[in-house]
Amino acid sequence: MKFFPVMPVIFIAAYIFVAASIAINTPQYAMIGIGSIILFMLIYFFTRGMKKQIT
Amino acid sequence: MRKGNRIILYLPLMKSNKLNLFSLTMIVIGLVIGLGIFRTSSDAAKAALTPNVFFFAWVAGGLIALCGALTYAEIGSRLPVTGGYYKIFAECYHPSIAFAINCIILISNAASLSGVALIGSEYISQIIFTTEPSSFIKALIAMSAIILFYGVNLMGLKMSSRTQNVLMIIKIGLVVLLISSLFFPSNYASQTITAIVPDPSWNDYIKSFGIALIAVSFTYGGYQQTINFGEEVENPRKTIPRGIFIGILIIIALYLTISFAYYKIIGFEELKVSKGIASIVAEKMFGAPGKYVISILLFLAVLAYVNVLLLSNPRVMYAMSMDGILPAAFKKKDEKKDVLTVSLSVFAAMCVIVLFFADTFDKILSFTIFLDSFGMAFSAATIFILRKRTSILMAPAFIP
Repeated sequence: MKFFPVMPVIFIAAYIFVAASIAINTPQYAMIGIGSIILFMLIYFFTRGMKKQIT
Repeated sequence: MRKGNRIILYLPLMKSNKLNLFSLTMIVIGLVIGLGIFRTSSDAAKAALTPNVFFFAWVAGGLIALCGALTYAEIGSRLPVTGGYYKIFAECYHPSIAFAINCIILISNAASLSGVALIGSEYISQIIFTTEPSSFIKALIAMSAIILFYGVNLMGLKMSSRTQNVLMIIKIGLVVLLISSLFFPSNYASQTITAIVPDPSWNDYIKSFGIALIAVSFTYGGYQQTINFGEEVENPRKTIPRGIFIGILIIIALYLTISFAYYKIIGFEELKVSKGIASIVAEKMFGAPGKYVISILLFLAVLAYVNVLLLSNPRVMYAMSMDGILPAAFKKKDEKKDVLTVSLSVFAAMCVIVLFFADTFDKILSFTIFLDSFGMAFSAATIFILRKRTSILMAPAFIP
């Protein structure tokens, strides 16, 4: 890729700006978003734990 | 597959059902051009203090999309696997993060597909019925569209990608038709700009630009899902980057010119408060029948979106199943037709269920806009990790 790492850095910075703006303007969206990530991560670890116990 | 600190790729040798450059480019464009550009372009206009801020947001959004496209082009070329959007999180961060983000994306994509199918059924209802049908009838029409394209996808990757090509040519034709309104200056609206903020400061301009850019960035998104097709692309290390690059250039050109057409035909102030902007332009061009023609074309545009999401999402479920996160049934594949039968059936069923709970899922969709941006930033950042891990494997390929 030409201009590496400028291209990905611009893109990442832009989407961090968008995510931060949403978090500032509508904090409930960010809270529910992060909450659901944590919930699904817990589901992942829980199901992995269950599988290990079975095997 | 990850071994120690390096990623080793196991690519199947079967070539018959693979996507070529044209089909992949159509998928890229299909994933980005949903219905937003035909309806919600007014959100960016509403946020913009002046037409210059409006156009600047579209240009900046296009440049950011280009940076993103080049980044995902290289990611797709370095890790060309089915369900790539799941795999990059799993390989570069942790499977739990990959599972969490992709489960939410799957639910939000099912909600998005159903929402768009419902809008499509509204368009076609205007043609079929003289009075507005009930919500249940609209949901049934949307369900028929989902079932029809579920059937198309069951017939194989070749069939579904050919269908996608035809629908995308119609969709691009629709955008070009709306852009052609620029050749009829007699339809141009008179531009009267009303200042929302009297005597705006630089701070007001920057704020307004930021809000307009957020609206625009969602209209430009979606192409990152192209990396889900990794193994199913002909010569993926060359075709994926080319497809993403060509696709995004076409999208930028279409978006910039159609925004200019909306501005010229509808007028900046009117654009801020208008709904169904594509219909307004068509009506100005062709009179009352224009509205009907555009409704049929928009319905076909909806079908293109339904088809591409049915194509892309089951591949994420397949990758999760390959990693043992989802049950083994999800990796069941009809090798002859290249169809992920169980994953496709489950995703289509999710979309049908969502149809009947559209209001609840509309709320879910608004919550996921934060996660979408968060996911884009984090997935793009995997380029730095992939560059280190795949440096030995990569011979010079087309990475623009």
